[in-house]
Amino acid sequence: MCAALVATCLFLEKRQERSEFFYYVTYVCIVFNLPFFFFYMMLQNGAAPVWIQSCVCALLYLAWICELRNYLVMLVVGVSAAFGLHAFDPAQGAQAHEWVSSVPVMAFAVAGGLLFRTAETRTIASNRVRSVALASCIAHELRTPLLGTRLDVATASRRIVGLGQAEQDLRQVFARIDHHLLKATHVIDTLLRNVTSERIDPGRFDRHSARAAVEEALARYPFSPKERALVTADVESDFHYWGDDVLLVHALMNLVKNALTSVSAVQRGTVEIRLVNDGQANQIVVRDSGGGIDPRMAGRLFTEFASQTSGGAGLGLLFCRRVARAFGGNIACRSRPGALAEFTITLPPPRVSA
Amino acid sequence: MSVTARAAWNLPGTVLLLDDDETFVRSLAEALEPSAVVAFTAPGPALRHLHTVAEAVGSGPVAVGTTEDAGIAEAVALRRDPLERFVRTASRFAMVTVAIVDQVMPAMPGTTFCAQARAMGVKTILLSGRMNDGEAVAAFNDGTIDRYVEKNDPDVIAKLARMIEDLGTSQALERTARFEAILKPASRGLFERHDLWSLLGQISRIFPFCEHYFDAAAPGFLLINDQGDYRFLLVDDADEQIRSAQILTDVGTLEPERLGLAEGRMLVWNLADAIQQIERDEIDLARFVFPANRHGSLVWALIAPDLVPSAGLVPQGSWSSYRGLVRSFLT
Repeated sequence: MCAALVATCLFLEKRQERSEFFYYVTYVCIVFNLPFFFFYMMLQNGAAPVWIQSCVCALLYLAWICELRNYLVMLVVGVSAAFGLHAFDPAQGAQAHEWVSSVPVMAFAVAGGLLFRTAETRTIASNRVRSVALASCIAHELRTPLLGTRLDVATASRRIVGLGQAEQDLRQVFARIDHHLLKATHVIDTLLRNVTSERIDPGRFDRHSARAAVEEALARYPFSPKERALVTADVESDFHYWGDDVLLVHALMNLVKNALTSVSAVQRGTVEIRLVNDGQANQIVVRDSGGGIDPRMAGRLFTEFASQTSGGAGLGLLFCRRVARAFGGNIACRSRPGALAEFTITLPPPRVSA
Repeated sequence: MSVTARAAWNLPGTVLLLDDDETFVRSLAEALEPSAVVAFTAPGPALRHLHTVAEAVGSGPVAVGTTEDAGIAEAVALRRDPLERFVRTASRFAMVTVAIVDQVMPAMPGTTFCAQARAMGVKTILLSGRMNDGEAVAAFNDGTIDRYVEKNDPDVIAKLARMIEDLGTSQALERTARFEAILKPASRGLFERHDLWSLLGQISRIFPFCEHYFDAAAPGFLLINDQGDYRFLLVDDADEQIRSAQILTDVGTLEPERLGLAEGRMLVWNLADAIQQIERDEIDLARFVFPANRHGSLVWALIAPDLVPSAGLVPQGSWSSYRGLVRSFLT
């Protein structure tokens, strides 16, 4: 019955947003089905060998499907519940001496499960380290040829003087090539930054101006001329924050990119960046009057690999949140579907530097 | 080159490039045109190049010091030989002003190279391929490098050009400060005067020079242009020239020259040499005394190469031919 319930939930999940309720149901079902059910049945059936074997299997299955912390919690809860319930009616089932002999083999199964879990956690961690190293290596190796090409484009466009109309045409071609290359450079930077953002080093934090970050982000973002015209920035109420300026610039570029994507998806709207410094809070607001955010996405905007753009990796907003939180602030989102999306980074005032 | 800079000597600077990627080095060298660029793909040969040039040019155009007392005897003690030797070697163009170095190289990290280059008076720019490069920032903060640029910077070419110019100027000022300290007492207060530097500005319009060297004995500036042509700007305080005229009168000389000198219409080249020759009766004053112009309280004469009394001051090589030479090595 429980299995059917879980399966139904999983089926529904494909159609709909996962709700918190769904998580609870799954959790309870697993606890009930694996540790509780088998241990209780083992106790009620006089610790028959077939039930002891089933318990070992249940322990191994549990280790297979849950991560370490949940595994331990479920195990303790399920097994204690089984013993608790059994204690009400001990006459019917196994006596202590009957099941005590199977404790070593159970312990063995638990140890195996723990080992399996730990090994898997380590493998995941080391894979992540490896993929970050690979990403940095690729990024570094690509930057040199990209810059080399940009340098040659600059040289070529300097050398085509005196070709008349052809010179004008070539100049435009070179400008476009440079734009493509800038964009490629920018993509590499952003991807790398998003992948490596798990380790933000507070040792590099310093007092910086929010206005400078906004201006730097707008200067560095590889806008097409049409895109640049859509973006306005009001940086009058500047404030200072305590953090890493390069990271904030990249977070802002991520938000600008999202805003521009949203505007271009519905072919209308503009992007507005605003600094708020009203004595209550210091905020950077990036708002677009494009398509807004799909309400089904809204709940998991800041989770990994959540994207409403086809082909989007869904790392950008997660990165923004990591940055904002590392600086002691946060990021929030407000949206009216079909009308606007507004992301607000709130940053605390900088601590007094020594 | 800036002529308002208070430089006792100044010359155009060469840029050294070091990156293990040969194609990239060529692209960067081309993009940095019109700077003269020498490019290397390994730190060893680059360091050897710096050493070779340093040996060829010695410690620069001035080697002999003088005392605080700014008399004529001390001015004579400031011999012209080192200046002559310096302008007679074309190696002076190969002196590296700025080195642009890649951080990631197989042989050694860019910062290690920069530390060694810096010890030889070269300004350094680190080109970093990593973002938020901690090593680069640390090297900049502890002064191992003068600047750093990230390879992914959208504005990299303009930034490099600006850095080369800034570092070139500050290096020229630094290395001339030493010579200026030596020359100042012998310059008869010329270096403290505003009209000297405005005069140089004015002369650069008549004769656009890219190198200038102060010769305390003359006194004045050897000016050399892009093509290797040169002039000598003889310059002195008007009152000082009247005193020189008095000395020449005392040792006995021709009347018209004496008159011209006394009225600030003539200027005498290297008074000490002149006196020696008068005493030996070998005097041909036309080679020592020149018609002069006034600029504020200064008198000056721009002397053509064939009239420059010392044959030693004939520069070798030209900045443009050197640039052509390094270019041809590149392509």
